Amino acid sequence: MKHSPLAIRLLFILTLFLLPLSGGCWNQVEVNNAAVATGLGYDLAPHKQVKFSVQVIAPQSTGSGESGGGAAAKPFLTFSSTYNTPTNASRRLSLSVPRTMLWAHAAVYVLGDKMAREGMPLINDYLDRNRNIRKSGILVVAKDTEAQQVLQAESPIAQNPMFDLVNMIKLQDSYLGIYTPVLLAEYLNCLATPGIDPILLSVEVVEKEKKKQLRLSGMAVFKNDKLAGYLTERESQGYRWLRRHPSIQGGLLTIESPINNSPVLFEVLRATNSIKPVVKNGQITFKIKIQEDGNFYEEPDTNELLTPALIKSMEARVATKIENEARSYLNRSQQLGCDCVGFGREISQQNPNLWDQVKDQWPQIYPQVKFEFDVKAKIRRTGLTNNIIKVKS
Amino acid sequence: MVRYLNQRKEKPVDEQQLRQRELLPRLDDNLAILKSLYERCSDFVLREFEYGRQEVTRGAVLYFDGLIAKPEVEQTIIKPLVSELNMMGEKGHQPSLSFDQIKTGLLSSGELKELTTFDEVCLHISSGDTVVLFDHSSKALMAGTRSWMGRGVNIPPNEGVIHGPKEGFCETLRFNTALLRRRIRSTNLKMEAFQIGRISRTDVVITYIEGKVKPELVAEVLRRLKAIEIDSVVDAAYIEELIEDQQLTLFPQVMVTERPDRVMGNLMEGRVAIIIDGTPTVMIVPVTLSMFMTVGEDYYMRFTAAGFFRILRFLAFTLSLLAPALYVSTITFHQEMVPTALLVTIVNARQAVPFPLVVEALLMELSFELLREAGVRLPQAVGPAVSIVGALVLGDAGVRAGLVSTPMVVVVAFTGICSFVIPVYSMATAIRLIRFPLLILGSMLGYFGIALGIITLLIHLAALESFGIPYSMPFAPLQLSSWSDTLIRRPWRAAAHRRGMMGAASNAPTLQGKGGDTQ
Repeated sequence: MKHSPLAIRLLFILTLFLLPLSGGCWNQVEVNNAAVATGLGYDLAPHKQVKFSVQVIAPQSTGSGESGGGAAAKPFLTFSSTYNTPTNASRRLSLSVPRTMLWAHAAVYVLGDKMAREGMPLINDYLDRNRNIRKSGILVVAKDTEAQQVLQAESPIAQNPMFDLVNMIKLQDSYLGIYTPVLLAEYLNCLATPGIDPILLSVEVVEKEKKKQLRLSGMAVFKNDKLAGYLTERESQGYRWLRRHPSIQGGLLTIESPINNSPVLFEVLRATNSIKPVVKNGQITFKIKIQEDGNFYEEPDTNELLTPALIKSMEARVATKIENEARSYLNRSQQLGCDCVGFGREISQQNPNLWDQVKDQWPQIYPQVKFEFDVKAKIRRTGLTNNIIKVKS
Repeated sequence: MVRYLNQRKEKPVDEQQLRQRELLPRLDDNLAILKSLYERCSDFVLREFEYGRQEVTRGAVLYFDGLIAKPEVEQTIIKPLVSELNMMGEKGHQPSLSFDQIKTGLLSSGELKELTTFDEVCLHISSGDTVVLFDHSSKALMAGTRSWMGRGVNIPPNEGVIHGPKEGFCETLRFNTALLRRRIRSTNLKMEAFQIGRISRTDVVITYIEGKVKPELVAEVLRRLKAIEIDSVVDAAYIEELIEDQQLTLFPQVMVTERPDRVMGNLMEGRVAIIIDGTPTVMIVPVTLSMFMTVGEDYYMRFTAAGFFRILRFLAFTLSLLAPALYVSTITFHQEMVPTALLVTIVNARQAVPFPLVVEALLMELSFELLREAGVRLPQAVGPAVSIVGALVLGDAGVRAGLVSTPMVVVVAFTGICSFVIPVYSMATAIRLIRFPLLILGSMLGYFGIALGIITLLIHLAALESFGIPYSMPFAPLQLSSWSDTLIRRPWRAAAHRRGMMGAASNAPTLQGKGGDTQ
């Protein structure tokens, strides 16, 4: 280049500038003509069709400088369309909705109850393959209802119920500690991994002050790719103690006071667990160790609980409580035959020879396995004071 | 236009020939030639005088009115020649003094020089010196009497600092060399002078510190300067364009500064400065990209603060180059990268805008450039009018009318501010221009286009050289040891020997009192 004549050099530069032009503006989206999707829903329609629903943020013109006036407008809109495959159904929205959808912003994917019970093969491939579906999105099941209903529910406080849903799921996991958030990627992982069944959070639609609102309610356990049933709150808490991922950081726990059975509250700081399969006389037993650290949080009575002896006894009660909760989940899951914690996976990792023998009958074996618990609970701190406030007489 | 104004006549050729001639022994012949040369020059002054009683000798004093210090010429040249020579003649000691006696004993000017050609005489008169011619002598005497009305040393208007010296260069070359000489009182500070420009004969001084600078660099600078064939040098920019390595580039290859402390710092690092008469700026060569990101103030602040501001400047450099392109391509191609809440804000803001995002960006960028250019060119009295039009009409009213969206106004304003952070104006200009192709690439191909643009830019930068020094020096030929004074400023104690990037070894004493490595 250095010694070529100026004309050739200029021609070269011109060609460089023309090159991008030849590609055109492929894949370009003008945001004026786009709508931001916040949640996607999949329902089973008659004749094995998919009803695809999408919630988008209603575009509101803020640029014109006029303030207020927009209060009456709904902050979001829900559209749906039905066809034989999910992509087909979603693209058929363009027959009635004049906007390009920005799918990638959808943070929540909702499965209708029916779809989860019967039709997951219809959409598993779509969820896995489609590049517009974010694997980091949260997948939930619409409990006893259609996904479309969930996408139409309103937010109690903010503009968008889907953002609310994501926040609620994350918030309750660290503040309250009942349900476990499950990402789409984790669901797909469980589908493909031997010895573990998927579990998802479920959401129900409740009516409050004549408004349909969302409420987290139970967890949906799957047997392979079919919904088998819903866990109760207590069972969900039990699952939480056993879950291998993510590790437990936070949550609440109530026991009965060793003195007079009034409730005493503990805050869970962290908990770790380990699962070890043991075979004795052909009987598979899982030795489950749970180690929990917590803070003494509050007691509504006037007992002087924080003596060394009572602390020991409260720790024992916490341990028992954890074991009971975990067992309630295990009983239910054995009834349903869904191994959502992945005990089978534990065998396959820790004892591959055994797994080779049991893997084909694992769904039949799982309801028969036994569990042994070794729970250790520790009280670490006591809040701002050791002693209960003495009310003057 | 210029072609029609410039009529080539016979006279310049004559003048050229006349000027090359030696001075003649007869005063009348010399004066006749000079008079013909300075025909129709109303500011040319020729004062003839006579001295000696028995043997009357004639002489003449020549100068340009307005370029000399009049009292000085009258006191130190005309008075001794006219009155004292005559008095001496009265006493009869010596009827007339010889040329040498007048030179050594009579004239009291500080600077005296013998001239032998018309060329020298003309050059000195037009430079403000006074020339004395004597009858029967083919030599003339020149006395340095330069003094004219000019702008003095002032605060540099375009390179302001909070700490540090406030002196700036001015149009007079001698003041500028003085500003440097006062700072570097070493015999090694060399100042080589010559003239460039066939008609303007502009004084040019190249200055460097012997021992710090590579001799080949000085030779190369001299070679390029002496090869210049030009009629006149109006501003240093003429020279800049004629000595730079690469014509087809937007990047400045010469550092132009109006601050003596900056020149001093660069001389110390082994660079060469070119001072040109009539230009209130000094050029420094060779340059590297990172030099344009530094200001003298970096060295007057604590090194922690200086490091922060340098990184900030590099960031501003990148952002002013890329911000509009990134914004447009992210919003038109990569919406998934924007946080949802932000995307919703942008979507809502753009609901009423009738143009595609690129068009909106180009419109706003162009109007910003217009405003900036208008701000520079406008007379000071109408300045506020431009800011009102700019702020209200383009910003507020544009958004209210739905012609532009508020996020775009923010991006353009932010980009503008970033480009003002770049300390050297010529570099800021280059960045402004490169912004547009990047914006178009980004709007058509998304991040892929921006990546293409950046790669092209980097290849170009890596290929640039300035006087044999790679333009992107501490980065492109990787020289990690120099980074400590590029992205940040190392503290002085750590700068044990200031190893010049220009290749010459340092012999500067360090704070530890040791001499640096020698050549």
